[in-house]
Amino acid sequence: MPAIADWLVEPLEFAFMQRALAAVLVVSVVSAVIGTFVVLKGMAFIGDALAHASFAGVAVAFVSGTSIYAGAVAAGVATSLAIGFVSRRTRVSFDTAIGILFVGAFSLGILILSREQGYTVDLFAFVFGDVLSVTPADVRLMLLLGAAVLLLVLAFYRELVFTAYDPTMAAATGVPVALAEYGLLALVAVTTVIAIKAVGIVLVVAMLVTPAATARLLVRRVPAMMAVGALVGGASAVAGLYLSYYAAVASGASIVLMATLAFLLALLLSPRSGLPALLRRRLPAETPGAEAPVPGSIPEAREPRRG
Amino acid sequence: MRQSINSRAGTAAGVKADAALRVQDLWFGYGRWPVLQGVTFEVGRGRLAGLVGPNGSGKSTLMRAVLGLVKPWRGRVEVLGTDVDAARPRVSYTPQAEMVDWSFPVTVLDVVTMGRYRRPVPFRRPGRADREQAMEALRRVGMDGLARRQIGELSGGQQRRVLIARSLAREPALLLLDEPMAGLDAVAQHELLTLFEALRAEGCTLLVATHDLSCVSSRFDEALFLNRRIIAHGPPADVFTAENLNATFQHHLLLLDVEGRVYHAGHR
Repeated sequence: MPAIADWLVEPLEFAFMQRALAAVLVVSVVSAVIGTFVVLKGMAFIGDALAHASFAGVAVAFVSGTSIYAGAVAAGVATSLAIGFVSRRTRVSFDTAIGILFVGAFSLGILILSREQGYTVDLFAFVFGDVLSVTPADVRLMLLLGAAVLLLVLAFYRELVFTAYDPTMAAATGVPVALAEYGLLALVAVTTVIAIKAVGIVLVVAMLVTPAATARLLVRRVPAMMAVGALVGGASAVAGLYLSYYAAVASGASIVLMATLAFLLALLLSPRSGLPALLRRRLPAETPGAEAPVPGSIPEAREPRRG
Repeated sequence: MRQSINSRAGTAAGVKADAALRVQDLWFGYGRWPVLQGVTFEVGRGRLAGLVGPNGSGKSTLMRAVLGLVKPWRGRVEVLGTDVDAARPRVSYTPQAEMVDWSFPVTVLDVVTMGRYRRPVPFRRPGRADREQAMEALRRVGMDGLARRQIGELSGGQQRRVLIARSLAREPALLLLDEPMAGLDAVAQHELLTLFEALRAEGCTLLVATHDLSCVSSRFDEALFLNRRIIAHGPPADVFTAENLNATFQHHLLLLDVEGRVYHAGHR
C-alpha cells in the first residue's frame, strides 16, 4: 500500500506536475461540457478546425510577444464566426467552409512562425502540446477562461440544448437560434484554446470529442453526458499524466490515448450498445431449440426505430 | 363587430374581424424558384382548418413562413392580431416526425417541457408549473406513463404524440401541425381528431397540413387547397369539387369518396 501511495504522490512533489495536473483537470471539465454539444451536433471537424485556426493567432502573439491566449482566442473566435457566416450566407457548404478557412489560418500561422529562429521547437510545443511547461499564469488564465465558458453554458443552457436538439422547433418557440449557433462556435473556439497548452493543436479534438462520446455510450441525458464526460476526461488526463511521468513519453499523446482506451472500453462494455447488448440480441436466435418462426407466419410486428 | 368565435357555419370571409391567422400576398421560394406564389387567406379563431395539396405544393414552407422561420420575399403575415414574434408565446408548431432527431439523449418529459420555452432569460430553468403543464399535456395524448422514457425508445405513433404534447404544453391559441396523422392507424387517428375537436372547443385555432382528404372533408371546419397558391378555401362541402381537386392535384392520380360522392382527379 505505501508503495502505491508513494508512487502516486512522488510526481506531485514537483511544482510543474501540480500545475500540469490542475491544467489537465480544467481542460477535461470544460472540454467535456462543450464536447457534449460537439458530439451531439456532429461538429468534431469544427473543433479540429478551430484548434488549427487559432494557431494563426498564437503565432502572431508569439512573434509580437503578447499573450498567446489572447491571440488564440481572437483567431479562434474570428474563424468560428467566419465559418458560420460563410456557410449561412453563401453557397459554400459548412464543411467546405471549414476545410478552406482552417487550413488557410493554420498556414498563416506556420508562415509567421517560420521567420523565427529555432521555430521547429515552438511549433512542436503548440502542435503536440507541452503540459509540463505550463506556468502559474497559464493555469490562472485557463481557470479564468474555463470558468467563463462554464458560466455561459449554465446561463444559456436551455437555448444551447434546444438549438442542438432541433433548430427549427427551437426557432419556432422563440429561441434566438442564430445567436445560439454562433455562440456555441465561439465557445468551442475558446475551449480549444484552453486545451492547446495541454494536448496541442492536433490532439485538441480528442479532448473535445472522445470523453463526451464515451459518456454518450453510458448515459442517456445531456447533463449526465457532461458529468460523465468530465469524469472520463479527468481520469484519462490524470492517468495519461502519470504515464507520461513514469514512462517518459509525450504528455499530450498519452492523455489522448488514455481517453481513447476509455472509449474502447465503454464501446465494449456499454449495457445498451456494447458487447453485452449485442450478445443479448444474438443469443436467443442461436440457442438450440429456440422457437423458430413458423414458415409463412407473420413475425411479431416491431415498430421501426429511427436514429 | 366581434363575431361568434365558434360559429362553424361562418365562412372565412365572415370572421374577418377576428382572424387567428391572416396571410396576404405571401411570396417565398428557395433560390430563385418561388414555392409560394401570392398566398392569401384567413383562418378565423377557434376553427379547425385543413391544409391540403400534393407533395411540393408548399404546405410545410407556408407553415415555416407563417412562423417567421423563413423570410418571405413579399407579403404580410398576421398572427393572433399581431406580428408573429409578438404572438409566438401563444403559437405552437408540430413539425413532421421525420424531421426530428430521435437519437438525441433526452427523455419524453424533457422534450415536452421544451414546449414551455418563451424567451431567453439567463439561468432560467423550467419550474414546477412548467413540468406540471408538460405532464398534463402528456396525459392528454395518453403518454404520461412514458414520461421518463428515452425518446429513441418510442414507436412511430408514440413519437408523433410526444411532438403534439410538446405543442400542447405551450397552451397555444394557434396550433400549426405538419402531417400529424401520417402513419397513424385508424384508432390513433380518431383519437387525434377527437383531441383536435376538444382543443377547438377551448377556443384554440388549428391549421393542420395533411394528405388525409377524407378526414378533412368529414371532420374539419374548413379546407385550404394549396398548390403554390390557394386554389380553394371554404367549408369542405363547398370546396371539395372535382374542379378544385383537379386544379390542386393536377397530374397526381386521386380517387376520393366524400359522403358518397366519388371524385376522380388526374388524367390517366
